[in-house]
This record gives sequence, C-alpha cells and structure tokens, in this order.
Amino acid sequence: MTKLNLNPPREVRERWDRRLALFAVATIALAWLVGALINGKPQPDCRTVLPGAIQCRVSGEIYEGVITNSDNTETVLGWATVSEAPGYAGPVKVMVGVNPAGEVIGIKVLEHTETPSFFDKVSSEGFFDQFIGMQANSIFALGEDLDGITRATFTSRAVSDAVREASYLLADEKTSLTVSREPQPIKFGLPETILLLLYGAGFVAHRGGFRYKAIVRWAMLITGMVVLGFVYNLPFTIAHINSLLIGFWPDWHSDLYWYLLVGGIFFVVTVDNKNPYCQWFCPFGAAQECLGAIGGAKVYNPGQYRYLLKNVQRFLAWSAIILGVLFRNPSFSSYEIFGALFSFNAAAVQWVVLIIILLLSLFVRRPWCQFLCPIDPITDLIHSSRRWITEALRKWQKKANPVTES
Amino acid sequence: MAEESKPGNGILKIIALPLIAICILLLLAYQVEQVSSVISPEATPTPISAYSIGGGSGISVEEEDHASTPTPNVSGLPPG
Repeated sequence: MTKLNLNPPREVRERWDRRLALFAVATIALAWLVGALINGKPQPDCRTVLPGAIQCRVSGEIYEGVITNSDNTETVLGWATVSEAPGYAGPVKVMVGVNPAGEVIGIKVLEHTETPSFFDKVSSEGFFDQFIGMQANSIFALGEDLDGITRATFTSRAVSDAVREASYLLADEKTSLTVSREPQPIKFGLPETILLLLYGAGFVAHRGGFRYKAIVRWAMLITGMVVLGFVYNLPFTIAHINSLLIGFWPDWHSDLYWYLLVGGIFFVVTVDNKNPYCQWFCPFGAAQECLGAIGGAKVYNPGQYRYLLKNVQRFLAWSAIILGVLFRNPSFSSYEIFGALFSFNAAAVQWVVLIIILLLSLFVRRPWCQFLCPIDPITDLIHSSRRWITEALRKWQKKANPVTES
Repeated sequence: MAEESKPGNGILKIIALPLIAICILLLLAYQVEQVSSVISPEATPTPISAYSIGGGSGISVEEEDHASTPTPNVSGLPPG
C-alpha cells in the first residue's frame, strides 16, 4: 500500500498550486454569475411606508400610495421610493414614504448585510423613530438633525444617507419643497491620517539599508494595533475583498479609509510585489507578536503537514469568498476573529478560536496569520499570478524573438 | 526574525497541531452555520432583517389585511 505523500516535492506543489489557483479563480467567477442570478429582488410593497394606503402604483422609481373613496375617486396618501447607501458590511437599502405635505411618514429597511448585533442596536435605540415627521428636504445628518447611535455609526450613517437620497428625490419630484444639496464633505480624520503615515513609514522602512527597520516596524505594529484595532476596529478583512468583488464600493467622501486601505494594499502587492500590511501594521498580527514577545514564540514548522495546512487555509479563504459572492453579502462568511478582540463582538465559536489563538501566540509566532488568516492565501495568489504571468511573457518573448534572446 | 523550531518538535508538536486543527474545525463549523442561517432563516435568527416604521406591518401583499388601517407603529423588528 502506497503511503499518502502530504508534502510533495516543490515541482509537484508548484504544478498543483497553479491548478488550484485556476480552479479558485474560475469557481469565484462562476459564483459571481450565479449570485447575480439568484439575488434578483421582488418589488417592495410601498404600503409598508405609507400608512393607510390600499394600492400602490409604480411610475419609474416612485411608488404612489392611494386609497379609493366611497364615490370611487382616489386620494393620494403619499409617495415612496427606494434608495441605498453603503453601511459597514455592504449596502443598506431603505424605502421611504412621504405625504403630500412633504413629511416623512414611514421608513423601512428592505435589505442590509450589517452585523446583526449592530443593526439591532440601531433599531432598538429608537434611531428610526427620529425620521418620522421630518420634512423631506431636511439635512438628515448625524450630529445635526439626527442623533447617531454610538458604536453603530456606520449603520446609522448608511440609513440616514439612504433616507436623505430617497426623501430628496420625492421632495423634488412630488412636493413643492426646495432641496438644497450641499456638496458632501470628504471625511478625513485620525484613522485616515494614521493609515497614510503607516504606509509612508513602511515605504521608508522597506528600503534596503535602513538602520532602524526593526524599531520602525514595532512602532508601526503597536500604532496599528492601538489605533486601527482597539480604538477604531478597522482591520483589513475578507469582507473588504468580497465588497470589492461584488461591487459594494462605499462612497469615497464618507469612507475614504476603505479606499486607502484596500487600494493601498492592492497597489503595493501588485506593483511592488510586497505586502505592506500583514507584517507591518495588521492590528491582529501585532497583538499576536506582542504575546509572542512575552512568551518567546518561535515560527512553528508543522513538518509533513505544512502543505496540507496551507491548503486548508486556502480552502477557508476560498469558501469565504465563494459564499460572500454567491449570497451577495460581503461579511457573513467573514470568519475572522478580529471583532472579538477589538470590539468584543463575535459569535461564541469566534471567542473560542480567539482564546486558543491568543494562548498559542505565546509559543508560536503568529499562528493565526500562518495557518488561518484568509488574507495570506490571497496575497500569495497575487504574488504567484504575477510571477506566472511574468514567466509566461518571458517565454512568449523568447519564442517570438529567438535571435535576440540567444 | 524569530527562531524557527525544528519540524514538529517538543511541546509544539503536542500542543500546536491539535489546537490549530480545532480552530480549523470551529471556523468551518461557523461558516456552515452562517450558510444554514441564510438558507433556512426560520432555523436561526436571520442576519438580513428588516425594520419598518410608520407604515404597515411589512408583511407581503398577499398576507396583509386590507381592511385594517395600519397604524404608525414599530413593526418588523429583527429577532433577538
């Protein structure tokens, strides 16, 4: 009986890696297409936001809610429309109803992919009640005419943005209200500033011969852990990749951080072939390294299981992307445990994994990154694809110009 | 750079591999649970919940009682 070889030679691994990469890309593309087909949505019912309306008529983007009187005439009770705005984990779709006086009389969140606990917090703390009775041309801005919900600002901002857009459309089209659309300010605060500084510090420290590389790297790790982790809970996750693939790109005015994080990482990985994030300022990587420094952690070599574990890690990443793309929900397949550590918000399973990983970090260098993190296989795939494309181009050039090459 | 241990050596051999395997199984179970919550929403609280205020019940056109006048109340609250 032949013994199963779990750690094949390099050439065999290389061949399998290419096949697996092609399989992964093809199946993700297929899931994307299937997801587009199965996620078609039925028309919403406007009566949910227009109290008393018996019938809904649709004209373009606007629904008209009417009631039939005893003399068979109709009275228009109001109008409704649907709009969406990016939340923390994808778009939040809202239907808004406005009466002929231009007052908001009903709102309904039709779809969202926010973390249930955050969404529940927004709905249970009376955030939605604030909209009722507001004029359709109000500012609908958190901190001005609306109170945001602490620790659920992304969700509450998404709802207010969507309500604003829908209300303004109705105010313009169906009421005599004047809407003044002020240009949306670009949100550039501490997380964005810190992120740019981290990229800058990483660029300097990456340069060959830089004397203070180790010190700068530790400073970056601790800054990342404290600011991007514990203070803002904004690490890079598989949900970012899924959002990118699905097309849930947030508004850059209100979420510049998303573009700086995702764009910056992909730019450096593809152009410079280096990973500016994982080893430099990943908040969870930093937390593991801090524990590793306390416990004297070493890089763990799982010997014959190394290739098997690598492929299991790839499978976890692949399945998270497939599910996110298939169900058009960037975050629900995101199995990372960062939320448990940085915002104390996670499923029971994630808490258990977090405890194991933190304990293991005392003895093993970055166990999460080495064996479980979905980001590592993705950056690997980009690096490998880059190498394969370069090799293929070189071979093609060699074939095309055999004289000049020889 | 941290020192690398010999393949599967010492205490790490006994502790690390089983713990990593447990984590993998737990994370796979988490993904399966997430998928089942979407496929059969009645089995577990749905993550895609809807909230409505000001209008009707949020139930489907077929189910809604046309005779009753919806009152501006909070309805369709997400479970949990």
